[in-house]
Amino acid sequence: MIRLTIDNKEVVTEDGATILEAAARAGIRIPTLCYHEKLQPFGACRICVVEVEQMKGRLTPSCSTPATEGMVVRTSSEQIIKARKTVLELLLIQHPLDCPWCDKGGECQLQNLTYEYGVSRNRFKDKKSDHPVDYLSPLVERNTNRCVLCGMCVRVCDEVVGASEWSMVNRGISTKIATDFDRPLNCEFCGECENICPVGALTNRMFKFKARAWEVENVSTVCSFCSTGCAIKLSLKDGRIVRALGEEEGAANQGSLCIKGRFGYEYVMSGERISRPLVRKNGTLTPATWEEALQAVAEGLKAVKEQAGPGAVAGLCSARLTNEEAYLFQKLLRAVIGTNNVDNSGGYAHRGYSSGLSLPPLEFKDLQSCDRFLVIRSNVSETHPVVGYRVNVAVKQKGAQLIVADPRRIKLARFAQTYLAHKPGTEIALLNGLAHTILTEGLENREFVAARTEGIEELKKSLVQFTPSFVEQATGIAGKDLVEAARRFASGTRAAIIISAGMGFPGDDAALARCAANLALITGNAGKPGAGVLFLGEKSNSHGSVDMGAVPDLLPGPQELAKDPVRQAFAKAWGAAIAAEPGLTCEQIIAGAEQGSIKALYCAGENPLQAYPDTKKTKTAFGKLQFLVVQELFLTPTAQMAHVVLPAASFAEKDGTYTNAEGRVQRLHQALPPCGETKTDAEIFCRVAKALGKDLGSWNPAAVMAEIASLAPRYHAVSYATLTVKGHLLSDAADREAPGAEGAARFSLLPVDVIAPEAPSAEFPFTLLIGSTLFHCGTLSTRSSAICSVYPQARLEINPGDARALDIRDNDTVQVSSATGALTITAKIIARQSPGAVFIPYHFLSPAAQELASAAQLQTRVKIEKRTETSL
Amino acid sequence: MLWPLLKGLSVTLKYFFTRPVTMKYPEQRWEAGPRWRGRQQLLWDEERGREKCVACCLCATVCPAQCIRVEGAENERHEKYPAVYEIDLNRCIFCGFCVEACPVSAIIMTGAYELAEYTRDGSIYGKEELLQEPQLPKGAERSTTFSLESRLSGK
Ligand code: SF4
Ligand code: SF4
Ligand code: SF4
Ligand code: SF4
Ligand code: SF4
Ligand code: FES
Repeated sequence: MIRLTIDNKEVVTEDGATILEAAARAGIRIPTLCYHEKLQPFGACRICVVEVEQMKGRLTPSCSTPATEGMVVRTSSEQIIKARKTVLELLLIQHPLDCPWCDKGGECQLQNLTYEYGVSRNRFKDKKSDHPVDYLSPLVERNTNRCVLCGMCVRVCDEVVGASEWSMVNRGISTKIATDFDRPLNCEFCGECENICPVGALTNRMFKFKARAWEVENVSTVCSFCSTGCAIKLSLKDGRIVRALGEEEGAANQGSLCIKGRFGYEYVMSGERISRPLVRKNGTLTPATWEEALQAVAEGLKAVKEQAGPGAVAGLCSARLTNEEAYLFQKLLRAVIGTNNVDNSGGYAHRGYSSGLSLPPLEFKDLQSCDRFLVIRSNVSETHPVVGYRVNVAVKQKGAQLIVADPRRIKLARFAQTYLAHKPGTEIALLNGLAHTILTEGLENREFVAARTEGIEELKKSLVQFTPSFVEQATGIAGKDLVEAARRFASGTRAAIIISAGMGFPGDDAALARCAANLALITGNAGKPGAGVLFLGEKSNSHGSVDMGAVPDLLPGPQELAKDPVRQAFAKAWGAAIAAEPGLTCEQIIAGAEQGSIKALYCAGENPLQAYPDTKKTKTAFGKLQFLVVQELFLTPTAQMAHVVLPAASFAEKDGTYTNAEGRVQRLHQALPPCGETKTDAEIFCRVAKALGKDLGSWNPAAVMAEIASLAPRYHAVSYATLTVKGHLLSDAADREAPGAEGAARFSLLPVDVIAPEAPSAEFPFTLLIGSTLFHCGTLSTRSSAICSVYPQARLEINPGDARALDIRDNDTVQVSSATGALTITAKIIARQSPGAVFIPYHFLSPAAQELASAAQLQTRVKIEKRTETSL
Repeated sequence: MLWPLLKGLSVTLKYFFTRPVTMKYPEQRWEAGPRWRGRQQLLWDEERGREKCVACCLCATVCPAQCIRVEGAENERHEKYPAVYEIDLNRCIFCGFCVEACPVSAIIMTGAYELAEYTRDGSIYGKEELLQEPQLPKGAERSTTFSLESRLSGK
């Protein structure tokens, strides 16, 4: 701790703090232009100068001068004000002063400071700057004439985002910020640079000329895409969203966003939204009133239930429903229909955190204090970019060591100390290999293993076969690299293992999660901040949907359906008996529909025909359904097959909560009135129940949350009255705050299974990796034109060597076929793709990658042929 | 008895033979002084071939009656221009703050004071109308040029 005096005030601050930080702590404001708490000090603008007595009255920049013991600082004096005015005058010499039409006007630091310091005349004169303005870059507009060279764009893009797109070029008065050779931007388009720019040099193209900063009304809510759960503010003018901003107070993101959060909201206002209920009459979907539609739903469901029993009805919901809606949906199926056949895309993915992972989730903010990362089967900087930023910061600014294991040379691999390019689908062998090496080399944390875990002997026994040579054979990772990675991982004090789940990551999540948990436990990485396993679900409420019991074998909590007391408690609360046998998973529901045992399906926001593997099979299965009701925003392929389509409200049109990957419950606030006649999913579920003659209770989200809180112990402290913009961290997630406490939970080490390495096949020589790109999330983002302007269509990513062997050039059309299907697609040759494997993002309708995948296999093998003119 | 009558009549007669002080409205029309704050006009920039207004919304911000609505947009030269500029004269209090606030002197108050309309909507002036110079009545003969009728007919 350091004591110093600032403006005659005694200030105590921690070691290493700058004068600026110390002053901020004491509530003293010093103006800045080039300082941001997320970035390293830079000291470029000199607006923050202060006087330090010990420096004999010399002016020193407070943002980059460390506070020292006994310092006497003055933040305001005649000399200081004169110096600041001069800085502003110098900045304004060439500045164009476009304030009336500059989109930063009203929230521009230069404008504010000029006003604050009353700089109305300039002693210096020169030509106004006239660099050409960059109108070509998508989403971010660059007008370097207005730049004050604070360097924040350069630094945020490098230090936080890790894209390093900007740099400063030239010297002296001709310095400017530029991309390589001043080309248009070709980056991640996160807009972080535009957001941090204190002036109007970098601006948001979507916001361009739409509104002035002071005119907009900001509604704080949560991003609807991935499970990072970034807190955002939607700016509204005249009832339309004009931009999205990161909420600086947001605990998950601290103001950062990725492209999806910042530029992806447009789908909400899309003209393609369904605004009226549709009922199939004489084979075509025709607009109907709500009464008719609800009547049709009730009749359809009732008919099936009466003919074939409740077990013939099933429900699939989206992992983007709010907690309240997911809760009501499973309640509708369990208490009103009487079946446990309810699932979300969790049936294929994110099962890991309900079964398999015995550790509480990691808190994002603690990632910055980690010193080791193991990123495996997780392209986290693309699927959950803002979590990726945290890893960047830890690695680049704090010196954490990074181990990346991925068949593709993903972005994080660039900063990694160890990069393991394993064969696709062999993550389990790799994790077990690491655990085996750690145990045989005696690198484990013996104290922790003895005190806090059980089952080490069984684990050791089950791991015997995962010797480096076995792992080498299975995964293709050289034994010495494995050993090096194991040593690196084990030498840390706080290690985080990051894994992703979702439709983009097929595989056995539960087993993978179990292996990861084992690895974390033997190295003592549990029960302390910044240590453990971070399991990232794909969509905004992937975690919440599991918590709310929108899965076949769990009741809200999540609590196990199999346990009698749990079931009884719910039966009592809902006034309906709950069947003891677990319901069917997504996969089983689709198989059931194909075989005819499932006759009615209720899809709430889920779009299996685009998102689930094996489109053809799903389509045939759905074609056999007696009754299909789809509740959607858009007329998706699934909705087109429906008997009744119910139009639902988007995330911006409703209240509710999402639970993110760190277990934080965050509040959505309604920003827009419902589009057309749409209703919130919650209201629709309650109305459907009413049409079926049952009462689901109120659809008011606050009331539903109160009901959830009374039934799900983990949620018992969640209440709308107390939810702030920081959200509520679920209680067992908060347990890790008391590390190593006496009587703290013991963890079980679970034995692992043996896996047989995949046999290569001559017919289908390539492994197909189906996944997510940085620019999209699920299928919803393809409805946002801004996002599509930078990533309009799926492309096949292929390694240069493979491409050469097949005589494929960039942008060639190729035919990809698997045992289940075939498609034509444009090829993109990219070095990061590993040889022997190709990658296709699954978001798009055409070409739809999921047509190639098969639900039965973890991996899809394909063959690739170049399409020649004649075959076209 | 007669005297007061004659006294009164003399006043009448005096005024009978002096020039009248009233105007025969609407045959005759008063032209407002140059500082009269009548309905606003948006100015046209001949040089650049566009309206002077850059849609900065300062007028809309300062307007105490909140009767101005501006929607900015980008023109083909990437400049900001008002795609929509509306003043609701039903609510305008003719304070002239909008003129004072404008950083590019794109708006002025004119002498137009005959602003009554048959409908409320008729009093909401759009950009095209505001860009027109009001036809100031200069006397009975020319008073018909005032575009009242034309506006009522929706043009
Ligand atoms: S950057 Fe700031 S000072 Fe410069 S034109 Fe824009 S608003 Fe005005
Ligand atoms: S948009 Fe993001 S990735 Fe692109 S230059 Fe700006 S900060 Fe960097
Ligand atoms: S573009 Fe903006 S953020 Fe970047 S250096 Fe210039 S003023 Fe700073
Ligand atoms: S998509 Fe995910 S990382 Fe991006 S802004 Fe939304 S919640 Fe944050
Ligand atoms: S004159 Fe006053 S009330 Fe009328 S539009 Fe201008 S600012 Fe508003
Ligand atoms: S804020 Fe300190 S030098 Fe810019």
